Amino acid sequence: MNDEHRTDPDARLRALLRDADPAAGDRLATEEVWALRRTALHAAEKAGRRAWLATPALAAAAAGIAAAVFLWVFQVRPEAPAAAPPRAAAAARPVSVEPEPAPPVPQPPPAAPDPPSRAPIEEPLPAPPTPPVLAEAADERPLHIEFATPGGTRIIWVLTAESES
Amino acid sequence: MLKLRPHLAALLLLAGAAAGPALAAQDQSANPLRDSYDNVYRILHLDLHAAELLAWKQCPERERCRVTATLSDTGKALAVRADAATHARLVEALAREDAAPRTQVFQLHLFEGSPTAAAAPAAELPPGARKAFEDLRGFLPYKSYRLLDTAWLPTTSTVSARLIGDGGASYEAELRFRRVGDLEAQQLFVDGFRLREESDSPALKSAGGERRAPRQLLNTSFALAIGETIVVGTSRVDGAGDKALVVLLTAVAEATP
Repeated sequence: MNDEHRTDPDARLRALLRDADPAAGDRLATEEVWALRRTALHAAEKAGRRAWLATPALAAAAAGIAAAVFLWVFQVRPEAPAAAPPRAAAAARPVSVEPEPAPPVPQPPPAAPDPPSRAPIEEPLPAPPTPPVLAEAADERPLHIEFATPGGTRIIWVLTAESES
Repeated sequence: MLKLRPHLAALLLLAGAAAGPALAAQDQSANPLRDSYDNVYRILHLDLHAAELLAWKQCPERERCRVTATLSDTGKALAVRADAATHARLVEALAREDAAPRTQVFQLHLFEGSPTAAAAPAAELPPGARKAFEDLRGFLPYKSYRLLDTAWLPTTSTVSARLIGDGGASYEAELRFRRVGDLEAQQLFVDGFRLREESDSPALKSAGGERRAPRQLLNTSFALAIGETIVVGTSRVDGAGDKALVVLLTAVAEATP
């Protein structure tokens, strides 16, 4: 509430001051302009030098941290076999889920088993979804149909199965 | 830069002299809530949004009011910031609209639809229900309709009634409704309409003397305008029952004096 009172009058006062400022149109002398420019350029040059000095150190530190995180997350081991990557098999599993079981496909002879620590964990696949059956749905709940007659009267009709109680 | 100081000092003096009246005028126009004060109104019966709309309607200018609706464990409330005249109008409106729950009357006609033509006495129906019945007769495939029972249901929210059907079969009709929209909208929402067989209905007894469990025949919800008649009916999907139960439900409009 008080902020509302303060904000608008302040802005209005600032606008009044700016509009009526007799020094607003004054320009700096050429020497003053060049002095300001030299100061600004000198400051920018020093900041740039510092940035270039800091960049390699920052990049080396970032690369080191990234490498450490990569090794820790993925636990890269030099003795891990390159063939039959279990992670790829696990990642592909959700994509292969289908409503109907796929027909048997001839399989190549089994490859050498993976080390126990690398074997994929066998998770049971979710059951394929059962397609809805109209008769079963009608058994579970009555069917509501809503429509309107040409005269505009609305009708809600409930179709109830005989077995429903 | 030093030579500018006298200019600036003079400018500040001028600006201060000019800004005083300007700020006073701005304060008058930019703060329309200057003469307003807060009050909290507890809402007893109205729908919260309907009460909020009612409060806004009492404000001559929206910028001069603040209305906040709150719902908590202690109930519904409106926090209103407005001037004294608006508060007075709001109190008057709430005393008129929220002092007691508004009663709505529903009229219910229970029909039995039959695929065989039969000479049934013409039912005497009010105009709205009569039109719905004529529409129904021309639309549904049943050849005859017999009026079984009627009920007059005045209620503020929930009501039930006992209806007697063919052969003494008894049914319980239950209705729950609420008003929606503002007070002039005349719109209801029936969020529960049920028709079920009563447990002591003679229709539950088979020819062999065995009693079956009562069934719920209708359980639905719908919007309904005051003065409108809606048809709610049921039949069996397996064809075992060839008759239908049809309910004509009318939200009776208040009689205009």
